[in-house]
Amino acid sequence: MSMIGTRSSPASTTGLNPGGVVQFLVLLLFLLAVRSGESQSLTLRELSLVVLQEDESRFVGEPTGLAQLANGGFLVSDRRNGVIHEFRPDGAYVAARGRRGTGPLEWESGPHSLHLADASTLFVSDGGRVVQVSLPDWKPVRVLAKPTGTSLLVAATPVTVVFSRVDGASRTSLLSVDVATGARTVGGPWTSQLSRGSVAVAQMMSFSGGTVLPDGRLAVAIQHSDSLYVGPFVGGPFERVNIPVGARRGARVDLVGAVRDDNPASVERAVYQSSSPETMGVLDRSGKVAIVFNDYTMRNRRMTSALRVSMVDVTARRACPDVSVPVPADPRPIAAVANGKLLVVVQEELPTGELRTVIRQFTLQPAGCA
Amino acid sequence: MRFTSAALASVLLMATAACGSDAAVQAHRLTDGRAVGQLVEADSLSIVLVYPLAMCYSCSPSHSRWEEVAARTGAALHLVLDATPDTADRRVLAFQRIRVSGVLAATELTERVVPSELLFKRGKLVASAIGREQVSSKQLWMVAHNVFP
Repeated sequence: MSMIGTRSSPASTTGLNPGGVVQFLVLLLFLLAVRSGESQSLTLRELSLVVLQEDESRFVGEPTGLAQLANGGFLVSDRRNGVIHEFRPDGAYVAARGRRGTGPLEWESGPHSLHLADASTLFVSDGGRVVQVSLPDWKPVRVLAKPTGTSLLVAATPVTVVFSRVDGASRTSLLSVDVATGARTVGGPWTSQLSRGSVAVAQMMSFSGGTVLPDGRLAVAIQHSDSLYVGPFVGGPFERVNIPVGARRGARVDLVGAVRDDNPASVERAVYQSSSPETMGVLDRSGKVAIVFNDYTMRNRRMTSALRVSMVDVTARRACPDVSVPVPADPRPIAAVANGKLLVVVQEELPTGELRTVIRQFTLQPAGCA
Repeated sequence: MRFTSAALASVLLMATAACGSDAAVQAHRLTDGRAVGQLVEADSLSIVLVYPLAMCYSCSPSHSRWEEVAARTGAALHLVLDATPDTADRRVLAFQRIRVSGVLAATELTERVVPSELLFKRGKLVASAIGREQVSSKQLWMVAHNVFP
């Protein structure tokens, strides 16, 4: 400030010294830039840890899905044991839900991801089908066959589930299905840079996340795009919000461009060396959403995953660069966004050698970026 | 119909066992110096699975299917891996409560005996499936319903 005063011209009679104004503006821009650089960040604040009650007969072998119930309890799907474990909010074991099999409350190849449409409606992704369950009595309602080439994205309402799919023209789109009537509508699409053959080989369609916003619109993130898409999609336009790349690898469209159908390794590179959205959820009524990305690494042919999280203010069309979620990458952590928090089920080894499964809970605190 | 299929599978698998490739599996050394066949106790029902370390034990129904047979029949279940698990592998196996009975000592024959599944009754081999094709056919699992009580 003293420099501005020193360099002000004594000849100025209006008080508007051109040189001083320029310098002032330069300084203002500098301060704004510094402030912007400092404030465009997201920090995670860890809340209480929930240690899940396990023993040799009831344990979480390989978590594949996570959800939080209306009563604060947790559901953890476990592919190793072929059940969904239900825990109280304090981690006490409630029950193992379902078992391996092909019946209404049986899991063929999972269970995998868990999607709560409301407090009493749960959709469970299980290989080639989706099982709808009524809570809290765990009564199976219906079993849906997944349409060919799709994966379950979100339970939009208790009667509507949305799948992401890639069609024969290499376009990624959304398929909305009325579970009661079976009526289908298609929205999107985004141009996919992979052919359907490549996508099918790589099962890329599963790498997408979606959530329903407070105003009823759908927010969707897809692999190989660093944007969040918001819209009704079906029969309407959609908006696009860029999500700056922070800690994550990003969409890596260069790898997608290098894909050749006759070269499976090129498909693998495109799919596993780019960040993939795993899940997302609404944080508050204003339309802020958290998006969780996976950065995968194959280790001894086992998938490990470094979790990253970003926050997007859909209303203001701003987003925070993603930050790392401080949890181990191996065994693979599974995340969910529920009740305004980021939840992660983590299998961890204590310094004593004790193995345990915990739910780690974080709040997201943006500073200026969302 | 089911019995006929199982019986036919029994004959096929017993014939395979008679060919001697199961002998190669049983004789194959573990890293601790024992032979695979020495894992089996004389007075018990035993299931020996020789699987790759890199197999996804949660995705594959094979291991869990045999766990269910072992739980139902009281058979001892032995898992033998084709490579030594490192620290991270051991941690994942421990989380999944998958117990490893031994690791094959690498020889030129190792590749030919992985994967294998062998059923023993009172210490004697009663059926086996050797090689990826046989192991994935589920025939041995059907046989298990007949040869195990």
